[in-house]
Amino acid sequence: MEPIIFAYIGIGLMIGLAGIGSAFGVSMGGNASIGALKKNDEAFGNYMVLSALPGTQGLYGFMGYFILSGYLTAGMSWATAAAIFGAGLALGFVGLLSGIRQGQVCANGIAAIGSGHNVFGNTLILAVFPELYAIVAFAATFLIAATLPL
Amino acid sequence: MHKFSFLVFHRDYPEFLEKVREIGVVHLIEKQEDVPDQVRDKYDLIKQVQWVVKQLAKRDAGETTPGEPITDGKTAFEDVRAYYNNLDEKFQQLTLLQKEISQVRPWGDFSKEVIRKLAGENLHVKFFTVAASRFQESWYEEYPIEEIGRHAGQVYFVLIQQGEEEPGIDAEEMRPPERPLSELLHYRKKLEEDLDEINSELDKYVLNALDAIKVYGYRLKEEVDYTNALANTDKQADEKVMLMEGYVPGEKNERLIAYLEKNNILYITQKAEEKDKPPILLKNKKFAEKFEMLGDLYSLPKYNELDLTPFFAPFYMLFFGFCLGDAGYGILMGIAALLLKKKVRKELKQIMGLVFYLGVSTFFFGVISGVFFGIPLFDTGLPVYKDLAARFEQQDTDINMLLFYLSLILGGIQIIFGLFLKAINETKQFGWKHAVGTIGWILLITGSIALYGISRLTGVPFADLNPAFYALLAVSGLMILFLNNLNRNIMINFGLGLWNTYNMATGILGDLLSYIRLFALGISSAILGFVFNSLAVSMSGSIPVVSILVMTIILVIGHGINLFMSGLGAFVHPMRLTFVEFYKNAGFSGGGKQYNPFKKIT
Repeated sequence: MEPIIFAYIGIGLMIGLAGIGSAFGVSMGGNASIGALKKNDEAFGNYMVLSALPGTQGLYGFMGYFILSGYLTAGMSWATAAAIFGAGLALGFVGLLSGIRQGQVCANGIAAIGSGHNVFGNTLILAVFPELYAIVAFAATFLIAATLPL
Repeated sequence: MHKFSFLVFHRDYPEFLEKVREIGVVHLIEKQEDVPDQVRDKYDLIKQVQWVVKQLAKRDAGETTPGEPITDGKTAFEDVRAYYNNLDEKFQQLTLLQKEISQVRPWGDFSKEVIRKLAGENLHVKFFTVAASRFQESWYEEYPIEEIGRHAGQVYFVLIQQGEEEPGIDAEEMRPPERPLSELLHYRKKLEEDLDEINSELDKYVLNALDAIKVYGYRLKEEVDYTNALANTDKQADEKVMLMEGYVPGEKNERLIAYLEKNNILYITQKAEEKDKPPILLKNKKFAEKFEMLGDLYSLPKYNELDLTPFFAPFYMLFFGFCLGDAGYGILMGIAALLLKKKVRKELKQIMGLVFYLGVSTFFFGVISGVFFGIPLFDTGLPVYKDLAARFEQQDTDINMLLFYLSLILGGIQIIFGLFLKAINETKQFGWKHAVGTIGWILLITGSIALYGISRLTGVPFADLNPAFYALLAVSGLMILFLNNLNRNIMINFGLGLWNTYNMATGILGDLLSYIRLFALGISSAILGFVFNSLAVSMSGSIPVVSILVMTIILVIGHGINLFMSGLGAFVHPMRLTFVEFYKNAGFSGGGKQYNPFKKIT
């Protein structure tokens, strides 16, 4: 196998899994919003903000690819390919699971707001707890890219 | 906050309450535990009034001619509510009718009378439907049928059956329609006219009665407040003397005291005590005031506790700028806030002020990190950035690495600042003897940093400074482990000190690393902007006018998405840093309730 194939598998995991995580997360928020709108249709702004929160993981995955794209050359070394694969694995899986979990926190918050509890601020704070790890994985990807030889 | 207790003769009490309400500074202490049914009903009514007001306010009255203004809010409210109930009912009827019409439509018009007469002659009209593909022309010869129509791939036909014997045709028999189409259509027209009529009536109320209904709602609220005030009054001496208690902020009591003195009303005033849980009124000046709404999202401070708003405000502003970090977006936010500030309602002015500050900070960090609408300024060869880029290269680093360290340094500063506030807070609430442990931690952390700094700056190896370091360890260790609360037994102090040390050791590192998000979010917003710029350039093609058009569309949509997503992140993540990392290290406990005086609304 050529090193670049290995690297691209990592990139695929990175964009794919992180994107799936966000897709799951935002749909959970969206579903909960539609239910909550039935009870309380005045807080749509709050629902939308909370539903959008898990959207970032997918962007991190995409930007991870963007950072690494300059190193994806035909003659790349195995060391570079392994670094890219590792970064992809980390960002992909963390993005997937943190996106889904963050979506669950947001969905519960939306349901609670719909039932008349004033928990928008609390949900915002709690919902970014799981996202931190996706941010850390993204920062790690960035730092990995910084160590790669051009 | 001062606690006031008023003793008033029962006959003067209504007048007294009226006056207190007019002055509007007393936050009444609640004594009753259950809400009486009467009050609950009023609350329900208030909710209904608010609903009606909201519905009316949403309507676009258009070209309705305004009639005489209605001043009786109560009647107007009841009328409007009745209209809305009617509207609801009619609307439901219309929905059911639509459904029926769509079922009957393929059968068209028929006369029920004729069908009934035929039945009298032992001729039964049966209604059938079958998929057009399964309908056989030969049926015309085999059965007495007549096609009525074709609709959505189905053939609708009737069969005249003589006697009771089933015809055995291979099609689905339908229930005969209740009413012919023309009757339904007529009924629908009438319903639609009714709806139009109700709507135009409601439109009139928007113009004539909205204000009166609003005032009616405020009145109801005042009545409830008044009933509550009465319920919170203690009746003493055979109900001859009324005792009412409440809190008044120190700087707002002048008018109240003047009134009390002038009318010889007996009152006692004393400084509020923390154990009574007095209400909280924050006193922040111009800049910090705008950040109060963020603090409210978490919790108000306890009474006597330091309000952290002015202390987190500058950090929050910096952190927001760090996370969004684009000079172009900063300028946009600043301009938008300034323009909108003049146009928006009073309540939103504060938010616009906040957005302006955040925009300034975003611009500032955009300049530092060299990002302008996603364009990396360090790569552009602009005068200052070119020199800086060259200097970074010499030292084998780049702006991103520096931002990485900057995020940690800012985090460290905020954490240490939080510890300082904790020491001040403990001193303020319980006296300095409670703050020794925290001061020990500050000493240990700042001392270690100072020693490390000295060793780096002077070139003295850190090992040579060991004696100073050990002395620092000994002093701060003593304070942390044994003297953390001078009012307690030293052994208890030791146990708690150990527990505290465990928490600090595991917590502070995590807290510090948590600030990396500032760097990562800043990078992510810059890269996303850059991605959209490259997309715009590469996808716009080379057709003269079209390419500019496509490029503009991609840029506007792309930067719009980035501004929203990154702006959301930049709003939320610094908030978490404030409420979790900063509040924890500053020892904030919170849980105060809002100062909400008994006052007139209309």
